[in-house]
Amino acid sequence: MGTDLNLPTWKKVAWYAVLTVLSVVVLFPLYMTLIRALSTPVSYLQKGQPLYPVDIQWGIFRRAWVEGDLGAKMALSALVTVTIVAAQLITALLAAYAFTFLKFPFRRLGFALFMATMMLPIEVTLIPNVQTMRSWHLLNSYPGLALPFLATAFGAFLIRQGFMGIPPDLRDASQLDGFGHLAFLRRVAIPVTRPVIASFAVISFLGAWNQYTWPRAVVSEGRWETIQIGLKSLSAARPEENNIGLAAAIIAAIPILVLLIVLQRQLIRGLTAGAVKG
Amino acid sequence: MSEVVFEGVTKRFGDVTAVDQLDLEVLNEEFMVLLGPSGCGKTTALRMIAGLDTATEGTLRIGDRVVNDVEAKDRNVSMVFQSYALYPHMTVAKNIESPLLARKVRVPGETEPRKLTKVERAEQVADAARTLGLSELLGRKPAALSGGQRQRVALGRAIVSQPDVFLMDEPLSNLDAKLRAQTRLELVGLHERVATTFLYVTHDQVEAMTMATRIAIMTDGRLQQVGAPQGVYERPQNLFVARFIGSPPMNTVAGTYVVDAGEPFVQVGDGRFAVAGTAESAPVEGAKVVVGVRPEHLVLTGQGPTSVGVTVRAVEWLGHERHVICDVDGTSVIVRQPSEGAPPAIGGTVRLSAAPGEIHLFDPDTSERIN
Amino acid sequence: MSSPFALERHGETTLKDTLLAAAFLLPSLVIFTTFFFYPLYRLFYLGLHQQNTFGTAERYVGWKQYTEVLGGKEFREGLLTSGRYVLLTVPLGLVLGVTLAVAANRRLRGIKVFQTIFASTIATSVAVASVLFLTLINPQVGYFRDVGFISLTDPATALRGVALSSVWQNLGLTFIIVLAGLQAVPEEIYEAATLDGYGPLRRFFKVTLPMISPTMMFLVVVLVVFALQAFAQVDILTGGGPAGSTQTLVWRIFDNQQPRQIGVGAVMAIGLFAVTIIVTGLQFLILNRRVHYGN
Repeated sequence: MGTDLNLPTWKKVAWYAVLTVLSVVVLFPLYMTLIRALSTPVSYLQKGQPLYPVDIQWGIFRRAWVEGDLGAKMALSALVTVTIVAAQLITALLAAYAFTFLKFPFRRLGFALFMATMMLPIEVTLIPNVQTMRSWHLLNSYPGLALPFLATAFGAFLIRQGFMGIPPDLRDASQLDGFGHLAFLRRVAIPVTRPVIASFAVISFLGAWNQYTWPRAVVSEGRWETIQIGLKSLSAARPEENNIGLAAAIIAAIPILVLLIVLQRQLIRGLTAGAVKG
Repeated sequence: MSEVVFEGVTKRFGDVTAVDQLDLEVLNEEFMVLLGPSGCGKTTALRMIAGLDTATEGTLRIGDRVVNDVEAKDRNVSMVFQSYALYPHMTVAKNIESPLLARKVRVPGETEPRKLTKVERAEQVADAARTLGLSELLGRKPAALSGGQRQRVALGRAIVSQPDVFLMDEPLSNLDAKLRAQTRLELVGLHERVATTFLYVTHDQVEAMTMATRIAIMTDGRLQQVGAPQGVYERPQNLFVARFIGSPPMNTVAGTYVVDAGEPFVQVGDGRFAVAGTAESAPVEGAKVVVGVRPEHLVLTGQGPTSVGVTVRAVEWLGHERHVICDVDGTSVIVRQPSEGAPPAIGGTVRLSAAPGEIHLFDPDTSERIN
Repeated sequence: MSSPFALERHGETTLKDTLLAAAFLLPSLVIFTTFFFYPLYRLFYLGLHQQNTFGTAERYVGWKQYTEVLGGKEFREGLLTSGRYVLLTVPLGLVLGVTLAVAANRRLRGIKVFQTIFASTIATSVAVASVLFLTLINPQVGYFRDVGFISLTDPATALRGVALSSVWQNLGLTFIIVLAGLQAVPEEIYEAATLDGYGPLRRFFKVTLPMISPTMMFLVVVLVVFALQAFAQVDILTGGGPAGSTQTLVWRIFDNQQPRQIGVGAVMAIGLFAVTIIVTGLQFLILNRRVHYGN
């Protein structure tokens, strides 16, 4: 419970032991993946599936990269993700500003309508949206991958929370300073709520990068696969050589892991925005 | 010219009337303090002049312009907020500069106000910083400043645009007592230096008394009295003002007006006070009145025809003086005495008197002053 | 003309504000209408019709398609599978998440390392986690192929295999959120409990859990919604098999995109929508009572 450092030594040791055991449990799948990715599948099995790599092939990562065309797929994922994050930031900022600082009729109803869209995930709206994309000839295309996600109610909600935290005095002072709405947004609202905006950006990035269901529905050509779909294709294509699929999964996961370690503060703040008070 | 005039100004928020038919003229270059308890409408009145709220009824004037429909930034006013409202992400320099970015300023030698160039803005900021002793702090952000420094930045932002009117909303309330006393002097000094109209809102009557050229007391959205501090102190027009100004507040007890051998008195408790001859509106013999007398004007005396007996409840020592808290007819009365000699015994009875000129009479129904 | 900022204290709407608001909200509204509201309408419409094999013609069949599908075998089994999936992933996920968070919420040297490890699975996407477990529980070569109560090929236990991958993948998210909730509990509350003579177990159940109950409720709602939307893990790990034992609702919706079945798919999508709303609503009603808000 976040208590003291003045625990007796045996207790400290006990806790370290518990934490280590838990860590092993958590990391086990990743560890096994690393081992099997590095091992030659046949040799590994022959050795009876030990807990260390067998007949290591360091070149497996290169193979996975090439055979899975991971570079192109990550680039496509990156393009789609950046597009989605940028669009979501813009639409969410504007919407949040309108709901916080502008007075217009039916404002509360409008906000409820916005929030209601969170009840309609892509899993539910899949069929009609695929139809729409088909009729617009946007299957297997970059816009097809990104369009449904250019706006976000969650982002509007989160950023609105941030805007509502701006002291009213600050808005009064801006008014006296002669800042109109756009100037206030640019000069005051956004800089002051930068942490919240950054947190949302991280969440948005994760969501877009990790997406599976929608890309799976609108893409049938290999060259339009995002990295997530690419992982499935690769493992499905080589059931015997599972080390390639695993190596690809590792390659796909590492950059995100690094990014999240760097941005952990923003990530945590974004995740806990709805969950924890204070 | 920068007078500020409220003409029949009313402000309603839904069913609530925050300001009720306010008629007030703030003279050019004076230091007018709007004084009153929380919720009395003083801040709303200030905000209407600033342009942050619109008047429901009435006319607002600054100088010779009617400003009801003029946007805040075009009124040439500045405001210092209670919380200072500094932009937390900007440096002191940028904070002070901010009014100059979007507002037009009058430039000496030119007829039309215009926006300043980057160089001109930097000059103005440097000037304001120098005046307020902020030159060393220009690169810092508000979080790295003390309360007093932040307040000066807020002032800097207010003076940099050389407004016609300075508006201040309880700017001292977030400072500690010592700093408050110091800043009061600085504000008065600033007022003299810039020779501009100050409209200052506070609930603290000490601030009002020490800084104002005139005080306007408000409660429940209505103006109670306007006048120079000493005048308001010596002749409160109603019970509210009487009790609000002065610390400790004026004592008020119930009494009866009597005339004895042609001389007016008020009967209080077991005795009576002599009253100065009242004007034309003398109360009826036997009428109930509310008697007001300030703690410093009550004196302990011996038995006499114009004294009132009270029971001593407590004595508070304040170093240079002591407060004797007494009880008459269930009402508490405070007497201020120098701290010399033995204090009256607690529980004992003493007699109080006061000079007739220091007795204030109020109508118990209308609360208005009688004498 | 009032000031450009219409503040709450005003309560007045202005034309200027309204026009600006319209402009600011337009982009979002266009996207929402096209990809959220219109699809909702379209689902209802599709559910009322049946198309031919090539999608070139459709005929109106009316609400009976709704009753047939929602009462029918495919939806029912999909709902059951998804329901089982929720029961398999949410309770276990919560317990593990809380365990990790409680263990890591103490001041020991190097605790940050453990915290990073526990949170690490948040870096894995569903696809990555599924690919990992595809090998881990692979019937021929998986490390856990002989575990018995978990598999990917035995109809009785395949869903558990899929669930395991989700539980593992959600550990990071659950850990982070519960840890944040724990850290928000003021120290004094624990001190008071200790002074009252509460042992560690009692402290946990009588103090810790109630104090983090809002966080837990948020987590439950989120995890249940995730579980109801399970698709990727099924797609990668079992492809819906064995013997349809892992065909969740979303999987079946995905499976019913061909013109001939699109009406069925649409009705099932509406069914999923309704189930999600009902379940979430029920959770709010039931759990809200047990949640302790404020201090």
